[in-house]
Amino acid sequence: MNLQTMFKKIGLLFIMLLTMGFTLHDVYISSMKMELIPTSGELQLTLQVFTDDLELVLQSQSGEEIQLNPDRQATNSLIAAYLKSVLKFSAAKTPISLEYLGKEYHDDLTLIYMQAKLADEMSELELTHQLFLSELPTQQNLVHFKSDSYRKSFLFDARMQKSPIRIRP
Amino acid sequence: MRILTYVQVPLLALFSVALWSQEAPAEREGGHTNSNKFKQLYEEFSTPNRFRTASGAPGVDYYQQQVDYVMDLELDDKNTKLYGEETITYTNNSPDVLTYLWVQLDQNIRKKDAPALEKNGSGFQPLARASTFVKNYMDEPFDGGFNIESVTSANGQALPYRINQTMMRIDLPSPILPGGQYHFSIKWWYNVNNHVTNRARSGYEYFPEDGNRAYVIAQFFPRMAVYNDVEGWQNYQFWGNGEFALNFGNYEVNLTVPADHIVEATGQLQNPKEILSREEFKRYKKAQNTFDSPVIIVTQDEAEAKEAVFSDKKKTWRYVAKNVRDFAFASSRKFIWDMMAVQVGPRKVMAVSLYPKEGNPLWEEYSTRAVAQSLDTYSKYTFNYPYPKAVSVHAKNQGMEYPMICWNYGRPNEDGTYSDRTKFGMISVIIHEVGHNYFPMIVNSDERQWGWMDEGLDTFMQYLTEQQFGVNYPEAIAPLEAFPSRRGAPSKIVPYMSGDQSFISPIMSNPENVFQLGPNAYGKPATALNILRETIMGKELFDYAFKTYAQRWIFKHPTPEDFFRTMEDASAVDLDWFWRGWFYSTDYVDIGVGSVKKYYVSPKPGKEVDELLEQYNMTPEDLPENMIYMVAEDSESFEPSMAASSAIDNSQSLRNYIEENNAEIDRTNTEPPKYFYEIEFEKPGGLVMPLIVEYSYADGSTERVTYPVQVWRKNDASVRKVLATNKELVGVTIDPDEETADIDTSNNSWPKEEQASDFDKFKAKIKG
Repeated sequence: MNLQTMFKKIGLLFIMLLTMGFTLHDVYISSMKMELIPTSGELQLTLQVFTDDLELVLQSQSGEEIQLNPDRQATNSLIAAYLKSVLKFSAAKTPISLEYLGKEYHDDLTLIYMQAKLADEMSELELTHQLFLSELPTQQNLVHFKSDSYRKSFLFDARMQKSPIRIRP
Repeated sequence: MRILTYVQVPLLALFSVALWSQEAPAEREGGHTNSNKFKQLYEEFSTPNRFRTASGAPGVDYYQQQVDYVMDLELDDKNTKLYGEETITYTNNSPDVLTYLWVQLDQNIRKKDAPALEKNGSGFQPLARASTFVKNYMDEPFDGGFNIESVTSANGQALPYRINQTMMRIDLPSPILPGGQYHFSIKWWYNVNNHVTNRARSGYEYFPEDGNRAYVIAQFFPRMAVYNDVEGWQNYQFWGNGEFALNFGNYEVNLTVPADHIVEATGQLQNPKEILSREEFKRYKKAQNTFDSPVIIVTQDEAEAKEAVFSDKKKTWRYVAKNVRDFAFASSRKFIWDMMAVQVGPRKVMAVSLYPKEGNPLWEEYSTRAVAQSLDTYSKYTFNYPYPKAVSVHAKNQGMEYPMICWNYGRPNEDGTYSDRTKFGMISVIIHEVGHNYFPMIVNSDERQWGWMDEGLDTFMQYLTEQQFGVNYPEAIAPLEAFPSRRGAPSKIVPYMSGDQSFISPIMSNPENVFQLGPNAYGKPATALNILRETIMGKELFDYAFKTYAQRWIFKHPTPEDFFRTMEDASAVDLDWFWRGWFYSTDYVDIGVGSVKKYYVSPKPGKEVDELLEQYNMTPEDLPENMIYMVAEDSESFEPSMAASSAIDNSQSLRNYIEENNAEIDRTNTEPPKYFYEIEFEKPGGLVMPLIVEYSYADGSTERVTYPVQVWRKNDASVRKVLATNKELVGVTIDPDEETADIDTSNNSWPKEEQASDFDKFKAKIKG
C-alpha cells in the first residue's frame, strides 16, 4: 500500500465526526423498500443509497479506485458480495439467501434490486443490517416493510443492527 | 312545505340529502376547538408590533445593532496556528440599556471537552475496525478551541468575562445606553484543524504529495452575538448543525500569510499593487474589464512551481468590507486564481475562483461561469447583488457560504477525468453557496434558530438558477435537455414526505433537533416554494411577493413570520393553510379518485327519490311541478332508454320549463348536457391542496380543471364534484403532471390503472 492509498484509507475511516455545513449530501442515510408479495412468497427489496457513499465504501472494502455512474469497471459482483456481508436475513436461525438482481442510477442515488423466496408458513424474519456502518459510523438505515396494506418501518444504525421483522400480521 | 322551495335544482337527490338529514343525533357530542386546516395562524404567529408589522415589513421602530471590526490576523502555516487581535466597535441601536455583551466563540466546539462532542447517543459496537476502535477509545481528541489572551477596554483595562461553552459574556464597566457605542479588543489564537478528516466547515486540507495545505478559514474570530427584538441576546449555543446569527458591520482586516500564498477573502483588496507580482497585477487589472471569459491571474504552472518552495517571508493582504455580517478567507501557495467581470444591473461585479491544481480541468472550465450565472439569476428574482465580488474556493468535500466567498466541492479523478456526477455536483454546490450571499448573508435570517429560512429559500433559487444554467450552457449538460437538479421538483421530496413519521419533523423546527436536516431544511421548503410558485400562486404573483420579501429585508434580520406575512400581503393569496400544512406539520399530500357515478335525466322519480320522500312521509304528488328527476346508472330504476335519448326527451318538466322561459334563459348550449357524473375525490393525506383534475372523454379530448384548495374547507376527507357534459367521460386523472408531491399515485386515476411496481419494471427490464 503506497502512502497515498494509505492516506485515503485513513481519511475514509475518520470521516464524519460532526455533520456540518452543506456536505456532499446532508445526512448519511439509506432506505430499503421491502415488499412481500403474498401470492408468490417473493420478497422484493429495493435499496436506495447515495452513490458517493457506495463508491467510498467499495473503495475502502476493495482498496481499489472505484468509480460509479458511469462505472469504470464491472461493479455488480463487488456490490453483491459487499451486500451479502452486511445485509443478512434469517428465519428461525436459518439464513435466507438473497438474489442480487442489479442496480440503477437516479441522479445522485443508486437503487439496488434484490429478491428472496420465502416459505409460506414464515411469519417473522430477522434482519441484520450493517450497511456502511464500518466506514460511516453515523449511517442510518431505514427499512420500510409492506405486504398488502400492512406496513411497518424500522431504523437500523450502529446501536440497532439487528431486528425481528414481522412479515405477516 | 317550505323546505321544498330549496329543491328547485335538477339534481335533487344529490343536493338535498344534506338539507334533509339534520336530525338530532341520539347522543350529544362534546364540543371541540378549531382544528380546521384553514384555521388562521394567529396562535402560531407572534403579535405584530412597532418593530415588525402585520404586513411582514420592518416596523417604524425596527432596529438592528451595528458591529464594526478592525482585525490583525496572522496565519502560521508551519505550526497550523491562527493568531488574531480584533477591536470591536459596538453600536447599540436598540431602545434598551445593555449591561453585558455576548460574544460567540464558535471554535470552542473543537475544544477537547466540548459538550458538542457528546451531543449524540452512542452504542457499543461488538464488531469494529481496528482504526475505528483506536479512534474511539485510544486517540487523543484534537486540541482545538480559542485561547483567549486578553479582553480589554479601549483604554487597555482588562474586562471581566465568563465563557459558557461557545459563548462569552463580557461584563461592562458601565451600561451601554440606547444609541451608545462601546469599543473593546480581544486577543486570541487557536490550533487550526484539518477540515477534511474532521468534516468541518473551517480548517485546512493537507496534500501529502507536496506537503502543502490549503486553508479555508471561517467562524474563526470571536464574533458579536445578535441582540434584537425577538430573541434578546441570541446566545443559543453552537452545537454544530444550526449555523449562524450575525450582525451587519464594516470590516478592516490585515491578514498576514506566507509571502508565496494567494489569498481571497470577504471584502475589497486594498493593496493589490503592493502584494501581487507585476505580471499578476497586470492580469488582475485586465480582468476588471473582461466580461466574456475568466482571466487567469495565477496559472497552474505558476502555482505548481511554488509547491516545492516554502517561503519564510510574509505578506499582509489588506481588506475592507462594508455592510457584511461576517468575514472569511482562503489561503494557500497551491492556489490557481481566475476572475471575470459580470454586469449586474448598474454594477460591475467580479466573479472569482480559487483552486489548487487538484480541481482542474473542471474548475477553470465551470467555476467562475457558475458564479456569474448565480449572480445573474438571483439578482433577477431578488435585488441587484450589492457587493463588489463573489468568490468560489475549491475545498475537497464541503460546501459552505460566507459573505462574498464560499467553499465548494467537486474534484476530478487524479488523471483529470471526471464523471457527470462530479461536474453537476460542483456546478450545483457553487450556485447554492454563491446564492447564500442573498439568503442569509444579505437577507440576514437567524440560521441558529431556522435553518430553512436560508437553506430552503436558497435551494429554491438554486433550482431556478440551475435550470437557467442548463439553458445558457447546453453543451455543459448535453445529452441531457435540462440540468439534473437534485432538489426542487415535487416528485423528489416524495420519499421523504412518505417516510416513517417518527423520523420526520416539521420545517418549523430547530436544525439541531431534526432527524434528516437535508430534506427538512433544504429539500422540503424548496419544494414547497416551488409548488407555491408554479401551482398555487402562479409565477407572477409569487415572484412579486418573493421579491418584495427580499427587498423589504435586504440588510435586515427577518423572522419566519415576516416571510409568511409578506408572501400573503403582496399577493392577496390566503396562504395560512399552506404554511400550516407544509411548514408547521409533517402532513403529506395524498389525493385520489374515489368513485365516479353516472346519472341520467329520467321521466319519473327513481327509487332514491321515492325513498327520500318516504322518509318525510311524502309522495311524488306532494312535489311541486316542474321537478327534474335524476337516476344513477347503477340504480334499479335505470332503464337503457334514458341513456339513448336526450335530457329534454326524458323530462317533460324540463321541456316545458325551457319553452315557457325561453326568452329568459341565457343558453349558450341549445342542448342540455347529455351526461351527468358525480365524482368523489378522497383525501387520505393530511395536506390540503388544489384539486387538479384531467377529464378524458370518449372522443379522445381532455379537459383540465383546477378546483380551488377551498373545496376541502368543510370536509377534509372527501369532496364530490358534478360534471355535466355532452361527451362521455372515460377517465379521471388527478395531478397529471405530478406537481403536488402526491405520495401515493396508485389512487390518482379512474378507472384504476394497474401499474407494475418499479421493482417489477426493473425485473422485466433486466430480463428483456
